[in-house]
Amino acid sequence: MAYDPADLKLPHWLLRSLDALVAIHIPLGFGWWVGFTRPGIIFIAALLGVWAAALYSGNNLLYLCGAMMTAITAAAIVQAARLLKRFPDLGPLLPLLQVNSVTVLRKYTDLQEPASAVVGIEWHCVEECFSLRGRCEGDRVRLEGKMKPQSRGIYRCSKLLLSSDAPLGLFLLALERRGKGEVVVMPEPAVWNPDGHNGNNLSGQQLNGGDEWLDLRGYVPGDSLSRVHWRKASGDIREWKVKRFASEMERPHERLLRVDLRMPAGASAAAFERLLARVWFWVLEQGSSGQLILGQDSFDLGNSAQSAALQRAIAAAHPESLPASGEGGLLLTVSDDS
Amino acid sequence: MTPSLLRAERLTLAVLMCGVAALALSDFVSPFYWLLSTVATLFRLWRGPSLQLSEMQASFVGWFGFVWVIFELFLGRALVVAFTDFLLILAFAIVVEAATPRNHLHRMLVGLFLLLAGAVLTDSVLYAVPLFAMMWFLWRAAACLYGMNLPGGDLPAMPLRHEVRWMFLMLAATAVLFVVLPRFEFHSLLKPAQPRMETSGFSDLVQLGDFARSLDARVAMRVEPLNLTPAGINSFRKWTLGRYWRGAVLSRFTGSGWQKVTAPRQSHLGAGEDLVFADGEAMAVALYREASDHSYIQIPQGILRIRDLPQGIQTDEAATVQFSRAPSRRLRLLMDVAWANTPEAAQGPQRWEREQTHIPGALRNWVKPYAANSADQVQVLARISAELRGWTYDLNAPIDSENPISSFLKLKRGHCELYATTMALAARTLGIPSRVVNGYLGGDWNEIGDFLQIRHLHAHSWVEVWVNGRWKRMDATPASRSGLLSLSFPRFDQLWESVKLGWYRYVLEFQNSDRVNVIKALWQSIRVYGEWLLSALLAAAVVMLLWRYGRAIRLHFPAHHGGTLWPVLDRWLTRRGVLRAQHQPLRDTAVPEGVSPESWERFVCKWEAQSYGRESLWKKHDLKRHLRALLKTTDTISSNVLR
Repeated sequence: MAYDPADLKLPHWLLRSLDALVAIHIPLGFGWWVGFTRPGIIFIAALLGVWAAALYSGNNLLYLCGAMMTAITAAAIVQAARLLKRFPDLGPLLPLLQVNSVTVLRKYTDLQEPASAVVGIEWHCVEECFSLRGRCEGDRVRLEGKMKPQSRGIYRCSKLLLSSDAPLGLFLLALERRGKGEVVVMPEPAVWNPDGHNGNNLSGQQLNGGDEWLDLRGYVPGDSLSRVHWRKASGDIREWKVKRFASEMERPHERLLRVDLRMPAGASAAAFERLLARVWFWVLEQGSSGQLILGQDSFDLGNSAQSAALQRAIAAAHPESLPASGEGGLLLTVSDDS
Repeated sequence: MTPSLLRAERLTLAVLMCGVAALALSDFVSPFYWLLSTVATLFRLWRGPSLQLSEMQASFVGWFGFVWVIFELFLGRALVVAFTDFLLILAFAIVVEAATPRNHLHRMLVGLFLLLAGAVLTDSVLYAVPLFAMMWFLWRAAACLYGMNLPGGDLPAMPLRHEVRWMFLMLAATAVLFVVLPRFEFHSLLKPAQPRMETSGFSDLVQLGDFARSLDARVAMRVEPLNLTPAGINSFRKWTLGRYWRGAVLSRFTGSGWQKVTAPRQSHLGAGEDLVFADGEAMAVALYREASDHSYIQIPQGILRIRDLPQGIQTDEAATVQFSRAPSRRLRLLMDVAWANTPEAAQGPQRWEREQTHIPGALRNWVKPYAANSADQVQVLARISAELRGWTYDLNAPIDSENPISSFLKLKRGHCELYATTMALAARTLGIPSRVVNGYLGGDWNEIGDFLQIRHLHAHSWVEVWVNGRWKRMDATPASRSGLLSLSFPRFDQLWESVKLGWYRYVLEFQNSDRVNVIKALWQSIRVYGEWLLSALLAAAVVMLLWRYGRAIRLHFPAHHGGTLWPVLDRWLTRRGVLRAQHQPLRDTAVPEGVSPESWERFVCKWEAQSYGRESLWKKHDLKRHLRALLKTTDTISSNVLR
């Protein structure tokens, strides 16, 4: 905001009073709130003064001035209301998140009506609240923000709180909309290898073995940064490549992973989470080949139609009472091996 | 300077200049001061923000303005004028100040304040221009400032088409609010004021010769009927013909002029009360009176009553009506008039209306021959009147200011004041009480707005004589006066006066009672023009639907459009050695001769884009243009390759 009464070098007590007024949000019903910005309070004070003078004097030119300023106020509020009401749903735009990782959101979508505004977005769910920002530039909006979920799961939006002081920066209008959409939060992948070693304990030297790397695979969150091929890396993390060495390639790859979701007696919830973290690492490393049996459900990694279902299953997994179905392959169980 | 900063600079300057323009409309403002800000703004727009003073220097300019205005007050300048001078010096300081966020805020606040000051210091119809310009620029400037310095960069400006649509909505909202909101007139201090227009002949002490000596075309009063039906307007127009509007009554002759004698008994009426002269069948008229330096209300022949007085008045025994003090603003007076009623003076002649002390000897001698052969003084007076009416009406007769009556009798030419004085003094010589009345006669009819305009040039002077127990009006001025004053004003002048009257009637003087009239008029219009209105709405809806779904409709009937363009394209392809089968899409045809495959590929993409509705449909000339461009591009590539 480029115009703030603070620029007028107002006394401190007056600015504090303005801020006290700015903090007031007046409920209008049906999920709407209205408040004022600092210049908005000055504007409203001027408007009240004009109306007082007009009503006191009966001067019709003052009536015209007051009507003009009121029309500007009403138009600003109506424009903001239309913007918030027609603001696109965020559900389809939200990416796959990962526990304890910051996901930077920067996506474009279309607006129903052109606007030049910044919209504050609070995406509330039972577990958390994500604060985002929608930057409306003409007929499209750029969603920006950082999301860092604290726990795994499928977050269903309980309410969406949109607020904006567009188009004039005078009035802050907020709308609480019924939440739509959900965001899938995956566990933080834990590096491991099928020989039973925890990947985190393997040093780069052991893997490299002094060898040249044989080929590259896509980067998976959790991969050691020392294995990233930085000369081929760009700013986009999706294009990062990780070196694969001869010692890794020689190991036979197990294409079937069976995950037993039963909780042994005395096992902690953290152990269950570690299990899922390994599963997720395995899925990411496998790419598009392999089969995962998660408890009673089976997923073919090569079937892209099942990939969303697989992600949701891992994100929403909870301890079961039955052993993993199927036979053969690699079996993962909950273990306190931290 | 970034584009956003440059936009903000221009927009906030525009907001400030709207305020300056609003205040400049006030007659209280010296042109020098508003020109100062205007020239500085133009210079700044021309040279850009490089022409600037620091905040400190600009504040020095502001303080200098303050000291200067105090000095002006000591020199005797009126407070309101000094106040406007100060505001405009302040505006100048803000114009030349460095364009900081603080300066932008200053400009907007001061611009708004100047607009509000203008609302009190002017009532010009032109005020609507800066007011609505302010609405536009304030909106744009605020939106521009809102979008600046945001994380991620400045926001782009909204397209003008979008903003214009909202501007119309705001205008409509302004009009609705203006009409709907109630009026409570507690105090008139903040009413639009204007310097009182200077007039002559309407003071209580008039020197012979300072009344209506030049033809001043400024409008003093506008009168319109409240019944705006054609019959009502016709009736009113007939009523206005040759109508006398009675103002100041002067009874004591001082030798060089006339003086009003303050009546011992005066009655007062307060604002909101009715002044009743008589009862009868009435025609309601509204009189819009300009602010004048005199306080007289001009009472027309046939007056029955004045309703809902806007200010307190006083009346006296000579049936003159005056405001308690001369109003400093335009006023509307609602009158009920009839064809022939004349306000009766409450009392007979006073002794000063018989005084003969200052009557010049030349006039006594001039009257003697008329009185010699007749005992009936009224007949003598009629003969004198007839004689005077045969003389010449001349506004610029070389009258000796020391002995005006003697000079007039010798020249036999002069203006109405001299005729009235001569007539009044002749009556007193004959023993008939008399007095001079100053007012207006006639007026010109505005053909566009259908109302009567009474200008200063219609000011007139006549006599009232006490005959047969009542005051009788006698006008000895030659008839050539009306010929001299029947000026025709250009149509533009009439249009402009109509606009002004509309502004006074519908804006300045809009009252609670008018709201009902507006609603009634709207309802009446809907009833009368309802069918037309419905048709217009339907037509507008059809146009909007076509506008919105036109592309889809055009795509729904592709054969028509394709039919017009395919033959052209096919002919062109044939000339280039490609024969396209009717079912063959363009993508599957061979590359025409002389066209590079890349250019052809691009052309095909464009063709498909317009065909399938992703871009606007081509017309014949669009296709030809693209084909020409295709060849041109190919030629250029070829020549580059050859080089």
